[in-house]
Amino acid sequence: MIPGPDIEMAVFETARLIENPQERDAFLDWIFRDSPHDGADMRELLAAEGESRTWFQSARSTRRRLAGEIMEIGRVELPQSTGEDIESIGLPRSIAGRFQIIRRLGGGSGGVVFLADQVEPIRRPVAIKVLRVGMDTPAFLAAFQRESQALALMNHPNIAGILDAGTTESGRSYFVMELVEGERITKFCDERRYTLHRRLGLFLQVCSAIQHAHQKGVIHGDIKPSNVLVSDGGGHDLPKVLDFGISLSITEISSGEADRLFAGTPAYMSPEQVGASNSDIDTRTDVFSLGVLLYELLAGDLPWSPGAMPHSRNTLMPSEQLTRVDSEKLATLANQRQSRPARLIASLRGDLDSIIRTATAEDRQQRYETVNSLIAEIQRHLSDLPVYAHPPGRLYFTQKFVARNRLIVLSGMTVFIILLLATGLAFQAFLSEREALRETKLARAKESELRRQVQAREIVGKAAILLSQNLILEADALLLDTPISSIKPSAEATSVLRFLGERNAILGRWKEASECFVGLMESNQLEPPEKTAVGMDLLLAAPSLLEYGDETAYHRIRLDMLRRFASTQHPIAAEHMVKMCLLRPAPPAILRDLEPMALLLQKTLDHPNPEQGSFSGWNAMALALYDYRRLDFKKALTQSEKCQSYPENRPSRVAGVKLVSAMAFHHLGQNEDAQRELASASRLIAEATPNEVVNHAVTYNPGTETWYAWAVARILSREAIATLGSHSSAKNPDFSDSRK
Amino acid sequence: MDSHSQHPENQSPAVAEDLLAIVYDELRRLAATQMNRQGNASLTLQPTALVHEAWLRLTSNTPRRWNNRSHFFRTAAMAMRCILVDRAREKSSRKRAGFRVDVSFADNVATDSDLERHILAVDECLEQMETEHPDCAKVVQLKFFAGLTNEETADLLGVSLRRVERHWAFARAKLYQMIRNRDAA
Repeated sequence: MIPGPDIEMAVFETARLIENPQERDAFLDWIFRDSPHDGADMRELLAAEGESRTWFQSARSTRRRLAGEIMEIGRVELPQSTGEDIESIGLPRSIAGRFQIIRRLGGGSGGVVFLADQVEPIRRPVAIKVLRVGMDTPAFLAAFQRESQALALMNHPNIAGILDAGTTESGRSYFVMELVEGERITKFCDERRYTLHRRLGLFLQVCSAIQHAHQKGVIHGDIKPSNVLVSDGGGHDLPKVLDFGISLSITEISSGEADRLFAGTPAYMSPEQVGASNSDIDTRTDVFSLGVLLYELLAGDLPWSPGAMPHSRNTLMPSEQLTRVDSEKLATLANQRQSRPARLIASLRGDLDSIIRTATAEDRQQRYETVNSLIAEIQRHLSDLPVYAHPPGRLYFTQKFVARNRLIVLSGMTVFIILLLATGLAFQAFLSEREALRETKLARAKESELRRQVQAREIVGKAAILLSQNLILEADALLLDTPISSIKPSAEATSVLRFLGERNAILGRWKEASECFVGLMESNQLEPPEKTAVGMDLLLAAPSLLEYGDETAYHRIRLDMLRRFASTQHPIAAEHMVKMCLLRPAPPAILRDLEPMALLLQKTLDHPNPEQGSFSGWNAMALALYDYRRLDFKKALTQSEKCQSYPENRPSRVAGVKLVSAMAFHHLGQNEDAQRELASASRLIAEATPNEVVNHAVTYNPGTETWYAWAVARILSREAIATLGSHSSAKNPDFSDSRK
Repeated sequence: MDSHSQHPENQSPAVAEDLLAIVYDELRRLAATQMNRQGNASLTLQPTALVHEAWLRLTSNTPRRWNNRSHFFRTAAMAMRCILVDRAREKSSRKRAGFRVDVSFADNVATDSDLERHILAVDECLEQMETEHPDCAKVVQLKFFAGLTNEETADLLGVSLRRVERHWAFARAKLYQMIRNRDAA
């Protein structure tokens, strides 16, 4: 007999860990040498373990089914509305003497909608929503009032407005809405054979309505084609968003007052809305539903079959979905979009696929943070600008193209900055709001948060105007009040952080710049390494941190970057990595890690690719620094000379590489040469005019100076002055004593 | 120890039963509203979702009854078990008088009419396990009946993830063996 349950379990676990069957047998034989009967039991138990997996799997599906049936039963127990005719709900033919009820239009969430005629002060058709019989429980009543309050808050051409609200003589709550006559948006577009372009135009109006609601602190929660009706106003299509019946105010959610009525239509609901906890719903749930709506509008179908749990991981993108439908259906879809099958697929592939993928990401952190960002993306797509959602490989090259075409940049930059600010600040406001949401459940805190959000929007507006008039300093001053710490890492934060970081760097506010760039690098860690613009962020962060004087953080990020990008095969990334990791003396381990990149640089330098001609000088500078850090001073000098031999040299680089030479000469004992190089570099640095340092990495142009190149020169200059000033042993840069 | 009083199984039977009744009612009610508002049972069949929701609701309504989350979830798991077993029993008795469990082991996949007996079999054998291996039984209750993940179970029981996995493997084998042996008898 096995002495006790604990021992039985311990033997079981140990035996399970022994993978080799013979050894396992031997182990069991030895353990049960005095009680072979127990040994047989244990062997049986071990065998049962494998079989039990399948059995429990089917048991689990039973459990699910039973739970489903229990819910089915529960449904019957709920109050059902009995009849919804005008008579049976006890509604008078006329309400408040001003509205004549005509007929029933339909049932929404908790209420019935009637068509009515307003008699005075003006005669017009309206829609009246009346609370259903049997639904006048406090929860439903609250939801009903919430809808009318939400509508009253909003005033937007694309939202069906509220005209009146009240209680009938018999005590039934009602509210009167503007009557919207139109088709659901999908049908409207199909019938009129609207092109993708026109569909996007309509969709943008829907987005602006939802964005307006969000600004008023209202989440719609049930965006779907039947809630977006478009009326044909003689060439001027007017989409209207309806049914805020399950909308919730952000305040209610945060205060925990969100009751269980918050439910949408399954196929359009975000995963978190389907999930259990309503207290954690935010505006991004609407971004998800908008993404699904856009999907349907463009590809003619839902991304998943109705009723199935939305799972964006397994979701086909619109272009992929279209390649799967049969040719007849595809032809119809293309025809409805005035396109041809192949062209339709091609125009969805790329930007539009990516935009939808981002909007409907399962993890809301990966989604667009605000509807505004979604709008900005679509507008960017419509004006042929690269979208953020697109894999950066292409973005990178597009940017390079843009960089080669300064004229386009000059006109495009203003738009770009405005978009960046518009999305950026709105996004910050939502982020700080979300923070508060987590930290406190107090509605009061929420309200002040909402006020802050509104203020932030005003700032955006002003900043955008200032920027359009080229009043950059003023715009910047305005933005200063937005704390950088309120921007949390997220896939979308990167562009905002990069912009603010560079602004700060250009103005010499190194502390703020560092915060931005470190945040930027953290944001990028959410992305797989191959998706980030390799090494670019280190190029921004490293000099900022060192200019600010935070050596510890610098060391930490260079280790981070090495871990992530050590295997890069990209010569430009390698150049950034080598140079930026060696701005300060480095321990042997770092030098070892950098070796493959240095070899790559050497190879690139020996066989220059004509398209990357202008990078040769940078490669040589990085190699000079690398050789200097390796204490190969002679070679460092050779590389430095080579660097200065390139024709398209610019002062910041010459200054930097001369400083490397100066230090190398110093260690070789050639003090005169060292002093000469230092003096000449110092002169270049002193002569750098403020205009020259102003440059934005987004518009990187190989021919101009950048703030970070000058920062590198200044950092090296400080080291060179210290090195040349010290009279200690010549061959002793930091870290050299750790070489053993 | 402080946490001692928080375990429903350590409370006086009357209090524990009282709490159980509350959770039970709440779960049934939630199941009903869930179904009603979504009109699609396939969406929220997960007991997990229900249990989490019941937690939110009950904690906001009766803040002081629940000493902590762990306490609630253990109670909820117990309630969920009762609900499921009641339902399975009801179905089973409707089909034939009595409900002797003889789940088919021939192909490891029970036929449709045998489905609810999975639940009854686990329930009955779990009672036996509660005396011999109480720790394993707790894991089964949370994982199988409340549908919690290994991580959540570990969190609620205050043990390591590895320990939950080990207990679950052992409990699964043990229960399977018990069910099979009993059916053979």
